[in-house]
Amino acid sequence: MKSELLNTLFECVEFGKINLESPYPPQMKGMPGADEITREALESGITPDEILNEALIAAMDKVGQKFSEKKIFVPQMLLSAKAMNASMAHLKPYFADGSVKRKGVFILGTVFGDLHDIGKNLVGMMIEGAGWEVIDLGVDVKIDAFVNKVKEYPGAPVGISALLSTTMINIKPVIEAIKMVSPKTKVIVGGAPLSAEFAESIGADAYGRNPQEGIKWLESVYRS
Amino acid sequence: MQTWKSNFEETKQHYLDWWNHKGIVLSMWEHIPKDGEPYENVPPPPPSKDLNQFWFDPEWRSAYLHYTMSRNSYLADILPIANTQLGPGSLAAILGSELEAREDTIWIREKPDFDGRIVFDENNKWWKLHKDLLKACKARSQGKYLVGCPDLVEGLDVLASLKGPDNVLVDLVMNPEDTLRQLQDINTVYFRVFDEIYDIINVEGEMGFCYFSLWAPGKVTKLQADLSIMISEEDYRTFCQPFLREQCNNIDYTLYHLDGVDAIRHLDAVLEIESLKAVQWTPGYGQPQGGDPQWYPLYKRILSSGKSVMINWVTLDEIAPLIDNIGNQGLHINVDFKSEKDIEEALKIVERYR
Repeated sequence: MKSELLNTLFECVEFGKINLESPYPPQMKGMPGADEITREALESGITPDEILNEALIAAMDKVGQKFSEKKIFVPQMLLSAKAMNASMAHLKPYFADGSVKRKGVFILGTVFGDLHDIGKNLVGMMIEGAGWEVIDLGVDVKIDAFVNKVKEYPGAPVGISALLSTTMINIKPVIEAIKMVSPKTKVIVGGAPLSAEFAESIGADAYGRNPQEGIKWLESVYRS
Repeated sequence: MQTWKSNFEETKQHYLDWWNHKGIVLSMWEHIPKDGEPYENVPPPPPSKDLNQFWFDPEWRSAYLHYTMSRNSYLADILPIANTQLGPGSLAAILGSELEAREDTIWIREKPDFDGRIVFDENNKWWKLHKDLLKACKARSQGKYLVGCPDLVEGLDVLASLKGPDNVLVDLVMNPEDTLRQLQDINTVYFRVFDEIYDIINVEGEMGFCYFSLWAPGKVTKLQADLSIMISEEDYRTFCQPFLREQCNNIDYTLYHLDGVDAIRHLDAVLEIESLKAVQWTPGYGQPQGGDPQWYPLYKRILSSGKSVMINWVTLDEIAPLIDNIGNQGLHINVDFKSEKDIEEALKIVERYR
């Protein structure tokens, strides 16, 4: 029963089945989704930790792999993230009372001068799906906003994105300001025009070509 | 029409040939200043009061464009077209999004109260601005240059500017029928707007487009689906190709802007559009630029499908190897010229192949 429910929840997240009403994916039409299965799992005594680790994180990891291999694309990934969020909503009380712990806090934002958010949102969803609490500062984020959040969450890694070659240069002063107040804070950067070389040249600690790379890097920071 | 471009008739022939998959066009992205005296002693406008005046005041902007056009170089096939762009995808503003003036561009903000309906409002303030700006520029140009068509954009990219890319992408899966209806409605408005713009800016039937160095002896536009890098080939054929095909069937001369390595997987679907005439390739930042040998197979693939190709940000030393490898028929080469001396150098190379 336990393993069956966790497997079903895994599939709901992998294939983006949010709830009973959701018409997607067609092969799961009319079946309960992540919302209903999570409720049933909790009622049956499965722990939030088991739900988080054995279903949600594991499923989102598979989603990330499929995305990296171009077996699925952004729409399918967004649906998986929505299914994960539907499940996570049931776990919120357990996060709040400390009975389930996240891996850490990740601060995220699109650099000032840039209003693009789809890449940042994808990264945020995937990292949340990997078990982190994501503080999303939004788009066009000024230097002070990053710095203030770093002060509020000492040690939390920071992700900064840019989609334009004209705005990626704005990342450098943000990193400088962050390192000024918190030299040990790690910063990862990403976005279509960026590269590993550019990331290194502006003082970033890492470059994430896709959400999966960001998660791998985060896991290494978390473990260290 | 007597323009400030002395060799315009020759350039027009190059463009006609290029649209017909022949010859070489040698141009650049926008303009550089000419050497020596301006074509006419046009006084500059007073400094703009703010960014809103810089972008959104038809009188000020037309005066500024008139001043800069009188000082640009139009050597080789560089076009005398005033850039009237109002943001990348200003059709979204005409449909209810907001424009926001920034230093180097115009941002398009999503429509906060978008209810799923694509409604064209003749009294929309940004539509009025499009017309006022184009009319002001046309009045000032007096036939000395063309007034370009703003970068309206279409399809999924406009829908993303209205309701946000995340919502568009989710709706491809969750509400495909609504999305198809919205895309059809966007095309309907596009044709309505485009035709009215054409009526304002055409000169004896000829037309120029703001970006991508485009001129044609009829209606001409650039097409794109930048959001498509996020979707599957199957979804591209469902949500992009039919609407692009309709545009190509309705507009005389069309160029598709293929943006980024992840867009290449849609190239087959693009090339299946019979009435599309040309494809432009943007490798993207961090990639080798247009003249790099890495892209020769891509260009050959486009050319062998019967379309012409536009190649951007080619350097002087890349021109000859490029033509040697992909041939001299149906090429539009845009070089990142820094001076008129550069242009003369490039012309010498290209003339060997004409």
